[in-house]
Amino acid sequence: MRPLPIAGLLGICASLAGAQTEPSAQPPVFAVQVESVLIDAFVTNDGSRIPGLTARDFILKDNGATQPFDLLPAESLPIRAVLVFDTSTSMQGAKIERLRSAAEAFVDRLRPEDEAALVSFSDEISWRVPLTSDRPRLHFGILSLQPRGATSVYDALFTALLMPRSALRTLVILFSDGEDNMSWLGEKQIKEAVERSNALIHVVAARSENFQSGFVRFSSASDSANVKTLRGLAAITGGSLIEAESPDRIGPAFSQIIDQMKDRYVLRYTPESDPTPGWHALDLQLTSRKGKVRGRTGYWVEAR
Amino acid sequence: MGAGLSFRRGTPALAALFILALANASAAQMVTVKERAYWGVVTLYAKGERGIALANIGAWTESDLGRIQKSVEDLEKVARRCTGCEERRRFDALPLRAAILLHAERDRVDRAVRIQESGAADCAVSAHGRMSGELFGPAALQPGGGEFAKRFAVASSLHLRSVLCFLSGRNWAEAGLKLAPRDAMLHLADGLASESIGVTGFVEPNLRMARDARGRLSNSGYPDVKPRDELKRALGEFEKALASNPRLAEARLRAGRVGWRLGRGLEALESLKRAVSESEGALLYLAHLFLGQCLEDDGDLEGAIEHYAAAVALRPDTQIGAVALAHAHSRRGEPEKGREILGAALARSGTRRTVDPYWSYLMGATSLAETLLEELRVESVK
Repeated sequence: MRPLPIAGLLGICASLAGAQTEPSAQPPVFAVQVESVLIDAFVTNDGSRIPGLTARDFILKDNGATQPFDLLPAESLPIRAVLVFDTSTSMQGAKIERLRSAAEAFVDRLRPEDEAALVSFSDEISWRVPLTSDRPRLHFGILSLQPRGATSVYDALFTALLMPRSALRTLVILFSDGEDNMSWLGEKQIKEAVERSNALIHVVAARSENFQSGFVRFSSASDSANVKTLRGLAAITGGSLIEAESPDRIGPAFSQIIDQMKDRYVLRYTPESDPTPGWHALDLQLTSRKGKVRGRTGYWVEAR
Repeated sequence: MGAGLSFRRGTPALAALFILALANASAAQMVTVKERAYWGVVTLYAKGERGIALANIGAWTESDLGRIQKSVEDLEKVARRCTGCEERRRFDALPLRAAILLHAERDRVDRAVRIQESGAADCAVSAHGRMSGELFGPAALQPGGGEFAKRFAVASSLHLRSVLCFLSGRNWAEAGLKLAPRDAMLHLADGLASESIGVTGFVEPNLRMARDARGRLSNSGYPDVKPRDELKRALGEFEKALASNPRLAEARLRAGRVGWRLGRGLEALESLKRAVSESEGALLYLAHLFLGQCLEDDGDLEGAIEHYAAAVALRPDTQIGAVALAHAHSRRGEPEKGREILGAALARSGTRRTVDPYWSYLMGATSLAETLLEELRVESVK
């Protein structure tokens, strides 16, 4: 087997300083020492965001060894959001309507320098709108979403991870209301793809009481294996899973995500020149303050 | 005592008998009228007046149908005891196959309406579904009825699986296997339903509606699904199908796929290699996909890519093959290649005219069952 580069995993420093660089035609490859690891950190205490932290408030460990890092001005970093929406049959009615409204509101809250793409999935994945800052185009794509067919969550997530050519860290917002029943990729494969990707993943899981279209939907977050899997996938990247208990909660869930993006801290860490191949576990903590830090749990270095 | 009816000694008993006889005669006459009307509707169906027959049979009550069923069973009991007697001739002349197909079709129509109205899958058996099941046994006794019963059981099993009623589908395959224990298609149908249960983890939507004491969804009236046991059962059925018909390519393909799911790598690899060499069309596409995954799991990424690429070449209109190939390229450190492949497949989204073969493989295709049932209907009209 050929050695695998660290494709898609690490961000490129130069593009992070708020610069509007064109997306790289080639994915970042971990050749010698040029790449950096980006960490979106969400810091809370008793559920409330802790503002005003500086680099000195954090300590970062890579496989247990403390590492130097930079704290970037998150508010100046453009967002590259990929909206990945379940449009299976079970989304008919209030859910698809609320999802459309929530997505439109999300797009409206993006800044001019931000971009978004739209992917829908049922038993087929549609790349409806590529990354763009063209708001009317995004709105049109959102309004054209129609429920139909089965659910292929993992394949759609893989598509969202692979397809964008953005050199920036991509924010993937995955919305689904049901168990995966059509994907080719399994849990193990999608987990590996997530670990190797450079994306931050947030999941909105809509709850549904009844059977729809023959499949158990997310009856509650606690008893669904699929919800656990999606929560785990989001956690790897530093993201989270938000439950929308009813269609009316879909909008607030999306608002919560964009609020979090504005409140996050972005750390940039450049690994040593010849990193050990394999999974590198990252541990990010506060040095002297009480609080909970949520960030990506690691990154992957391929054997050369 | 008044001037009305007066009875001498002993008369009350005679009178009671007379009244009873009258009542019986009346009931018998009514049944005869009803029966005549019923077989008239069935004959209409058999003659091709499908719409009228379907509409008419929908008005029959469950108790009316129960009486018809009883009269058929009574005649069957007598007919079983003699070969050349009048009752046997009458029994053999009953258009039971047309009746079964009529009730089965009405059941499908009713279910489709319920699904349309509720937006949810529905495996509840209607009076017509029950009637087609009740007439199934007697029909097998008629000349040529065994072959009809086998094919009808296969078609019913496939249809029910395609509307996500996996357990009901399996029940039909089992009913057929009681008549024809070595029939390859029935073993295949039984295995298909078991495989779907094993892969999806549920048996039927209606069974999963109930919540247990802790508020969790559970299979009411059916033990919790043990996917591995279901897959083992499926593999056993595919092996029986192959024992009866070694050229049944779908059974070979499925035996390999289920073997892979059960972690029986070497056996799976052999089965899938044979499936690649023996299959064509959608089965060949799937055989390449499944063999590719087996090889990928085995660490042979090059071999996997070769077979995924063959699958994509066969069916460029499907996305599953493209996802598999793009993912493999991505794993090999070629995300740009993966992007190119997946991008091409995404560009075709919305243009596919048929169900993805991978979906049909997992859940079945309504069209196949409809084709089989239509063949039986045309034959019954003849």
